Amino acid sequence: MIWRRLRPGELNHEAIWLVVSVATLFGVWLWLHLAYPVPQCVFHRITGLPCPTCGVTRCLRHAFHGEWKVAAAFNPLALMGLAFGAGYNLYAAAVLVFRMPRLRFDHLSPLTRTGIRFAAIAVILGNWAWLLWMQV
Amino acid sequence: MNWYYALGDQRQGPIPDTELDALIAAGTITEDTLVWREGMSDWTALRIARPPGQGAPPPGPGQEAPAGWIRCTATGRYFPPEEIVYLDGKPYSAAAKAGVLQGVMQGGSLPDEGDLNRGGPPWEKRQQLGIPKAAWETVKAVLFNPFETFDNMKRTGGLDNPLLYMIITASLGTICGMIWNWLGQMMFQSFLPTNTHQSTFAFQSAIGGGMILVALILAPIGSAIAAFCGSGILHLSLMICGGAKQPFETTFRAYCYTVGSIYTLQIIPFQVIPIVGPLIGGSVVWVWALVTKCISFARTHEIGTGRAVLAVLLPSILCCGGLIFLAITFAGAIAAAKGIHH
Repeated sequence: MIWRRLRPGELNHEAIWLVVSVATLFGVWLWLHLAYPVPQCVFHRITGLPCPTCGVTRCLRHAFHGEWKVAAAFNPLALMGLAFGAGYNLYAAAVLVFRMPRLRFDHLSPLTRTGIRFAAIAVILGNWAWLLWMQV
Repeated sequence: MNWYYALGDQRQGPIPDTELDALIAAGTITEDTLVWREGMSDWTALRIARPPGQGAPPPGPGQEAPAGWIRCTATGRYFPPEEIVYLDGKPYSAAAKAGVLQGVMQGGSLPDEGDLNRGGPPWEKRQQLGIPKAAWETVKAVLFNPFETFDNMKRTGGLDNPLLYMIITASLGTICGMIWNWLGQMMFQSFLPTNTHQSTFAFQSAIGGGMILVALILAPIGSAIAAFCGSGILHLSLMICGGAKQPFETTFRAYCYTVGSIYTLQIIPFQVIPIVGPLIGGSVVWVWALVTKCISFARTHEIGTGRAVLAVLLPSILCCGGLIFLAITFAGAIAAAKGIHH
């Protein structure tokens, strides 16, 4: 993990993801605000059990109203994702405005990569276990 | 292309490039040996007909690379040892100098095997081909020859070209799809009893027409956002499956060319065929998209097909049990087919 300047021709990830995430968030907010239909979960309909992404819409709806505890109960991973997205956007806005060096992970060892992969899988499965336990 | 060469007073050949390189490596022919091939006006010394520094192409099946020559990591061609330098422990030829420098400057890494030989797809040559022809050639190449297309797709080179392609094709496909859908609904309405449909017909026509006008404005914005979100999710999926061997830029490029091309299938008016049209159209597009995506990621990231399939399906598996839905769809189709036979 290093802080460095962008190389010539390198993708400006901070600018790209800041614009994309803000536009997506606005789109989601508008969709929910206009009360457009939300897709129904086929897995839940058939099995009666929540799928790993069930509760995301309800989580976002409550998070937009500042009801963090209720939002976390519906899907903790979605709330974590929202918090991470907000944090990343603040960082992105700061480095773009103040022309600061960028955070990059140029050289991750294969062991670290594998560790991150398995951690991600464990988090997804843990979140699903929570949803099953809570009967979201 | 085959070569002829002069050995004493005798004309020898024709021989392919690989055999010519073998003869050079063996010392049978030298830089001063007179050579000729189709297209040349006269016999010329080898050093002029084929200047040094170009190397030999990779040998075909059953052929061998010239003895002692070394494979350049970036170009994939073979060179004599004196034309090779080692960077980060890997051999590179002088012919790869510009590409190596560009790779280091842009991504901070040395180009991988065969990177400099990738030049496609045709959309990236639209300055020469013109936009309509380049778009059409790219759609054809991706849909009907995905293996070769993604083997030759440039893995770096910016996001603007694929993004523009995606915006144009996806917007066109979306708007055509909406028009066909609207026409299909109007046709369906016309089959209903007169007193049922007359009151709503004009209203629905106006709403449908209005929605198409709105789509004209929103489709390009939506396509651009979808390109980033879709490729971002797929790159995460590839990372989880251990298949992200190339940076996000490669995933984005492959995603835009694949999904953009698939969107053009919506130009076909499936929706106006009563009842079965949308079902058949939707299934064809869905399966075609799935297969093309798997091929594109397997070829551009140079990973196994199984891993690419898992990465492409992972978002569906995680969200709404997509595989169960797929299994039920196929089970239903099989059951329906059996029902027809019995």
